[in-house]
Amino acid sequence: MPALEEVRRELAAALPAAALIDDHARLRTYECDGLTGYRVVPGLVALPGTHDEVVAAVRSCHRNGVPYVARGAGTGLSGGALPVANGIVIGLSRMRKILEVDTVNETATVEPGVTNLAISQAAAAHGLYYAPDPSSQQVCTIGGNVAENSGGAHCLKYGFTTHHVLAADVVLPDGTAARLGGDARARDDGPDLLGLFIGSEGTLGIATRITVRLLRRPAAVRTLLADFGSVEEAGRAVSGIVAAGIVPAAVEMMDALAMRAAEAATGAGFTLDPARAAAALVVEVDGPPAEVEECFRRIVAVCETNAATRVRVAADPEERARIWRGRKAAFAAMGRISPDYFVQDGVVPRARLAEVLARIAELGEAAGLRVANVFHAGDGNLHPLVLYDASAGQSEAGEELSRRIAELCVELGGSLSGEHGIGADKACSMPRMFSETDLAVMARVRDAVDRDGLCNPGKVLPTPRLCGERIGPYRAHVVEEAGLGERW
Amino acid sequence: MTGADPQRPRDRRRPVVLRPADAGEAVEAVLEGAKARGRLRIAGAGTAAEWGGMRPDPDAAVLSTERLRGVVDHQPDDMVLVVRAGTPLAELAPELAAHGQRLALDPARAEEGATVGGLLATADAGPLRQLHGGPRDLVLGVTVVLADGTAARSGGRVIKNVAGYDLAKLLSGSLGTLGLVVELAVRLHPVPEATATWAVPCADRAALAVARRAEAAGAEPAAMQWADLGDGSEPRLLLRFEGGEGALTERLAAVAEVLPAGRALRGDAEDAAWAATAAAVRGGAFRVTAAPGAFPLVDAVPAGTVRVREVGGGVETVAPGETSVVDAYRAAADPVGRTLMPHRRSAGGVVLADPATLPVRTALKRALDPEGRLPGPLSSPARFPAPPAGRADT
Repeated sequence: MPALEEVRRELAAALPAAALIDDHARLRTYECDGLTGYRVVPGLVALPGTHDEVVAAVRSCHRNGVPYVARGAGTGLSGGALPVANGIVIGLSRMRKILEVDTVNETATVEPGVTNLAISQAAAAHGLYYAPDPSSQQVCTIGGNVAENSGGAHCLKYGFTTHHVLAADVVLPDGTAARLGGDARARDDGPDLLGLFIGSEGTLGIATRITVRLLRRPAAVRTLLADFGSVEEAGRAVSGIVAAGIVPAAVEMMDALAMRAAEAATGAGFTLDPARAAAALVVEVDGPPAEVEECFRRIVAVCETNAATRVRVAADPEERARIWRGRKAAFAAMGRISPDYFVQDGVVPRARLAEVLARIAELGEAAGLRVANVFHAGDGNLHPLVLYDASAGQSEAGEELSRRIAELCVELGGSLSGEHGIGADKACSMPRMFSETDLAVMARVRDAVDRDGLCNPGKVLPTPRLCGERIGPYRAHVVEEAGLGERW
Repeated sequence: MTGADPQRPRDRRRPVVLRPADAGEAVEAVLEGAKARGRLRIAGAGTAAEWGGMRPDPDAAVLSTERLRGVVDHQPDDMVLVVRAGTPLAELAPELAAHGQRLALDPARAEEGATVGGLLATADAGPLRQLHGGPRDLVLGVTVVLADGTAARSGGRVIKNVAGYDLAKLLSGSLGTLGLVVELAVRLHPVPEATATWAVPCADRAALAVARRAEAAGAEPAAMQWADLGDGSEPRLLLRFEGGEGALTERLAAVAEVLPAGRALRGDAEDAAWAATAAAVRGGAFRVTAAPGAFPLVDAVPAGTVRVREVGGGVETVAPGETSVVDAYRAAADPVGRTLMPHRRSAGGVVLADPATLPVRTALKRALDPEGRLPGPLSSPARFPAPPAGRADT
């Protein structure tokens, strides 16, 4: 690969020797992200330490026509950081300086390799924190969060990454740099480029410096754990809370299987009797104390109306922390009850939670596989965990079941992904959710920014090479639905 | 940038106005208008006609959204609404209020009939931005018709969704230069049981520090607005709180303790206070954004200058916009990160947060409107001197 050789030569001159990895054994460390089923060994890994080194790397790729993939901590669950063969990986893990915590404007400016949690830790002394809290927050990076528009348990009330990032210095695919966004939350200078960039899964450029809003720690926080005799009742309780106009900070659901795994891992105190606790909700409310109490009373009433078998209120911060530890450890804890599992990520309208959970159970039964559910119920964002045993030849069945669950979400009026992204994993399912024209317009946007198709190619949008000649089934176009009645 | 005008001169004076009622008709209207006049101009309620320093193009075919009106789907239990873009926010509000819900935007222009699509296209919001952000933060999905007649959808109807590019963000603030939004899915919020406002006399420079004291007291204001109405009345900070009566009592008590110079406004007095600042915003000549701590951007303004500032959001609307005031603000808006958006033609052109974004903006504009059928202040290069270069002034 002469082009790759040229990039190697140019980067050897521009970056410190330790910042380039090209021996096969070490390159293999970068062959996948959190979605380990897809693996490609990259041709070269560059670990720039500064904005200028990122610019140098992107320019070199651009000049030589070499594809590249940006990578944070590699915790992504959709293969968004899956390398391209004979391409390079630009890892941002060395760029982890917290540049500023601005207490006047209540913002933090950081490099992309800073972890999500480190921002809140840096702000804690000032009574401030960064709100989006993905379960992987101890390790995942803010650069990756920006790429994926990451969510988290507390996004129900406070919003996702896109609601909290004010500005990003971005290296565009042609190697030029620009600051997207601005100093204020109000964005007022034409099309919201930062909004387009956040959640574009690394396909429109690489952020090298990110400014986020910090929020003030709420005066009071209360957390409860409510058990239900059936998953459907728990689902109805969530819909009931939403419909009552209550906006809790978080509403999370775990089913019996998920609780069993999480309890074994953390001893959070979940009820382990499926008859009494087929599912449990973790509900958290924050704000001024009297208001929190009032909301809490209403939530308890909704839980009781929906036949909660037990409502346990966290008595102190330690008990609250234990409940959250249990919830956040649930994915990793699956290893205790199943040799292998797929984490799925889909969204349904919140009024249809009970329905979708029942249908997932049916799909699981038909496939002969167990499905554990642990998810952001208040957002309607499901994370079904399909449990399988690769050594028993169940991989394909597991993958198929997982895909069918995501597509079921779309069928029910939801989305293929709430926070993990489309990446390499679901690009071929995109035609289930979007028409050919919708996807063609998205492709126009992508091509306008990345003319040469070098920036994280093969992610997000389906291509014939990736998905076969016929990319997905026919889907009615908006114009047809609106009554024009013809396809042209 | 603009396409050729195929019309004969004698037809030029008769305006071409197209009024599609749904996505299908919008496609036909765009194609018909483009064929007739080459250029298109999107018109909602007309409440932001001069934004961006726009000069009306008398020859462009007008795409009016007045028939693109009404609710397509409201799922009260899911707090999600699908609405046609030409629906005035003020018309929507009572319908949603019947379910105890609202679209949490309170732009000053709502009273004049500003439409939901128009608010997205102008990225406009009111004091509630403090709590809920702007339209881009509440829109879940859009259907758009591009200038070449392509109808496309992005996003969805659920509150959390990261599938595909978020074209609603790109349309936010696009001032009608990228396409005609025909339908939007939006997230709704509960209407608060009650509101109360704490009004504190407050000098310009102190506004942020005073507001932060209320925040630090845990009172969680839903809106924080400082205003000098330019009428000789004392400038003051308005802090609005929302919630049940119990919560309001708690919040007012907290704020009274840290800001004893203020007083509570309830009922008519509260409504009147906010109506006065909204009226001032409607009369604004331009709006600037900067970090909250950067204000005041201009040290001294002539007596009679009206300024309304969202203290947390970092936005200030200024009137009447004499040349000297505009010049001072334009100079102050120059550093990267700050913006100036004219609301009257007299205030000149748009100041971008970072001029280095121009090439990518231009590339996106060309990708979505290759024929340049939707000209506007943002499609013209340079740091937007007024009037936008390259436009026919005939």
